[in-house]
Amino acid sequence: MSQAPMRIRRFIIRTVLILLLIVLGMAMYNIGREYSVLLDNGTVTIDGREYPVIAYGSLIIDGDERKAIDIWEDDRLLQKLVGTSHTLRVLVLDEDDDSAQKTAERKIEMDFDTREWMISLAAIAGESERILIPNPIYIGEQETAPLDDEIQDDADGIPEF
Amino acid sequence: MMNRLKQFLISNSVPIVFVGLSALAIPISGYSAGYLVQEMITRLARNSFLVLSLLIPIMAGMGLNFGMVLGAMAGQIGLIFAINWSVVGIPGLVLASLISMPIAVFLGFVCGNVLNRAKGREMVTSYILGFFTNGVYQFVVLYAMGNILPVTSPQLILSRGYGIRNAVTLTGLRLALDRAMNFQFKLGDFTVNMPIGTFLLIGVFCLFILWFRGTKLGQDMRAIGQDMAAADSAGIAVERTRVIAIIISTVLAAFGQVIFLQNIGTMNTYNSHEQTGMFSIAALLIGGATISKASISNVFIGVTLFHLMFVVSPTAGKELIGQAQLGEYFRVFVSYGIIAAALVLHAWKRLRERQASRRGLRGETQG
Amino acid sequence: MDRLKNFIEDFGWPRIIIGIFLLCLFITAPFVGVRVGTSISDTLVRVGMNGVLVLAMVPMVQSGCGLNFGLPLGIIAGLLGATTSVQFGMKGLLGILFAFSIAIPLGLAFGFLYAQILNRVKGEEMMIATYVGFSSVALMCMAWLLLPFSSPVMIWGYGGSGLRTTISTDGFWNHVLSDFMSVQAGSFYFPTGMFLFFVLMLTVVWAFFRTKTGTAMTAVGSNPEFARASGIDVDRMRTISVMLSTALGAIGIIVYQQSFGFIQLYMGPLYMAFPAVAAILLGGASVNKASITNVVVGTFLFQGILTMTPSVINNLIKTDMSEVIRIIVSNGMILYALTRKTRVKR
Repeated sequence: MSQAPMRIRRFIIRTVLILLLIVLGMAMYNIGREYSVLLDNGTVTIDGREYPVIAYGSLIIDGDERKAIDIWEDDRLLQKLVGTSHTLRVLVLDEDDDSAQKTAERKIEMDFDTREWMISLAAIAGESERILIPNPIYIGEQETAPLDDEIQDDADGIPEF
Repeated sequence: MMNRLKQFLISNSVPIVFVGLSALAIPISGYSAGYLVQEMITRLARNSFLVLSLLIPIMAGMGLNFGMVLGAMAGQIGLIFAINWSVVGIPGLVLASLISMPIAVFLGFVCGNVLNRAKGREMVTSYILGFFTNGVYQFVVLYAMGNILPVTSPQLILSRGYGIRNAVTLTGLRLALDRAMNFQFKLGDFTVNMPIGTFLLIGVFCLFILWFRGTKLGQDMRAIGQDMAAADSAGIAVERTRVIAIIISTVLAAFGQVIFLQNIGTMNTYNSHEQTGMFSIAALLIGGATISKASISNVFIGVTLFHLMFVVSPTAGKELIGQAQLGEYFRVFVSYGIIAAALVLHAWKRLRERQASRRGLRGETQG
Repeated sequence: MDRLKNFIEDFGWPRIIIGIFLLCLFITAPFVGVRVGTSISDTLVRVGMNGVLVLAMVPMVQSGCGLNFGLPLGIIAGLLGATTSVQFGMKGLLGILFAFSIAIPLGLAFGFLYAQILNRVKGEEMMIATYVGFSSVALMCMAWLLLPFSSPVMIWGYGGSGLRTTISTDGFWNHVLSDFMSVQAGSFYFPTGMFLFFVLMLTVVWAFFRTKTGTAMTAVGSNPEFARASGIDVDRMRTISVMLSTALGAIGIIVYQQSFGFIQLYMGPLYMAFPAVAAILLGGASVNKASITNVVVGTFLFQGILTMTPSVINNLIKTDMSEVIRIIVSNGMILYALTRKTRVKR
């Protein structure tokens, strides 16, 4: 008697469950996605304004002060960031006593191509509206060179089973 | 009393023999207690989930599910995609499991239906099915990925432009689960790492199996395992239930392979899954399980004893005869031999039961 | 029309598809620059190499013991014969005959023990056979390290003990059967001796199944209850069939080695049963019925595919997919045979 409603209910429950799994998958993708972000510390001109290079400073990612990174003039850094939104705090430091002369914090969203664009630390320190600058060695959408040797080297020293 | 002791010794003969073997081999190998405890903890965390996935088909009377390699392949495909999208950490593992799930369900569905056409020889059929699916898997991974399937990461793709590399380093995923809730303690002068998170998952799985046994579906499976014809006449959908048993096993094996590989840290795209089936089955049997009866305790005893032998035997072989190779062959021999012995004992018992019942039917007296 | 349908039903779709596939390969071969002469002689050489191993399936299938996944056991007997012959430095025809003379009794002995197991596990022979084969290969791995072989061509150079993984038969009895009366015409090569030997073996098995024992064996395979009622000792017949299969496996591997040029030890024989099983099934055998024709047809089809796919497919799409095709074809064939609804015997 209650055959038909049961079937419909079961169908709905299953659909909802599958949708939940898909949503969970998408959430995991967003939370766990790792981005290789290029950071550049050099004098840049954005929208007609020049932001001078940071002679000596420190970069704190997502407020983790234990993992502060030293920045020197004309540094280029590669940072692996997990997740879509991050805060970058740039401190311009005095070379003699490490005291902060200037602090700027900036929220970034990973909605740009991390190979095409670099983040300018100087622009963050200068509190510029835009902080993305083109990656000069970006060669456009094409096959990246394989990393044969590197990957093979990683593989040793691991037990088989 | 004597009789009960004897019964106990007989029904646990396999684990007892292995305890004895290990007791002999451990002093010869000269490993410290701390090292061995660490190894056993690591290997329990690494392998238990895979071995547990074998329990449900045994419950349904389908024997050892050699088709669990299908699940392992699904798990590896999930990992390939997680790596390709560079999703790391626990989310990466969850995503890999989620991707592997529909693949494992599909493969399990196919496997279950194939096995329904081969009742009475499920094991050999699922074994060959594993080889067959391996061919399909190789086709997908070696030719379709990078060509038809959107896999682009240079970390994965061979330099010729398509196909997955033989050894894939699971950067970012490696030990993601094991290190998530790591507990350290000192044993002698050896610091032992205990992956609590992994063991929690394994515990949840054990609870699932205990709960599952009590459900309607679980009861049906046990009825089918005892007597398929009787279950059929009692109105249980035999074929459907058998398919479900295999699907559950395959999906869990896929998760198990993800856990296994995150611990190892490197995926041998074309080999990792092949040994999974054999080693898991051997471990379960060494734990005292038979083809028709296996419990959760068999899993943990089996994994510990099997891997104790695995760790100890090469060194013991080297110390005894001067050739580590000998110990390695010995453990391969034990893995195969234990499966062969378990199959023989089981079949022999069944044959005798059949003959006894036949004699009973004829009304002859038993000698 | 009905007859055609019946024929297809009998023959089985997979065989027809694979047969057509092979035909297509041979037709396309010249167009993509594959030399047909070489291909055909390659196929023939491989048929000769593998024929006896495939033939080793027949006795066990006929007596109802199922597909002989335990072929590695016979192969081990053959390996022991071959290594002993090399150890004593036996050369040429004498060498191979000596290898046979060691391998056959060993094969019969192993087969006898193997049969004692199989007779206690009726109905589940195949899985057990697989693992008996595997474990004997692993056991022999240890034996190869420990056995007191001393011939310098066979043992590891530096360690001084234990056999090498591959041993060349060159200088001993390499190609003694193949090159006997062989025909060489340009790129075409026909190993007459090997084929004569193959035919000899086929005739022996064929004749055996015409004897009283052979007929009894077939009876056991097709209906054990009936056979028992007729006064046939079922276990004895099964034992003989297993011994015969194992001995044929031993002979088969020596024939294989003299053509291949190497003796492969250690894990080499592990998976050797699968191609042989696939071949006989491809030839039209089922899990409980096999004939000499099945052996010949199956070996030709299977080896034909193994030889032709790499060369043709490679030239066609510039990708080596032969390994994948081999896995899918051989295991697909076994799977097909296992899942066919057969008459329930028990």
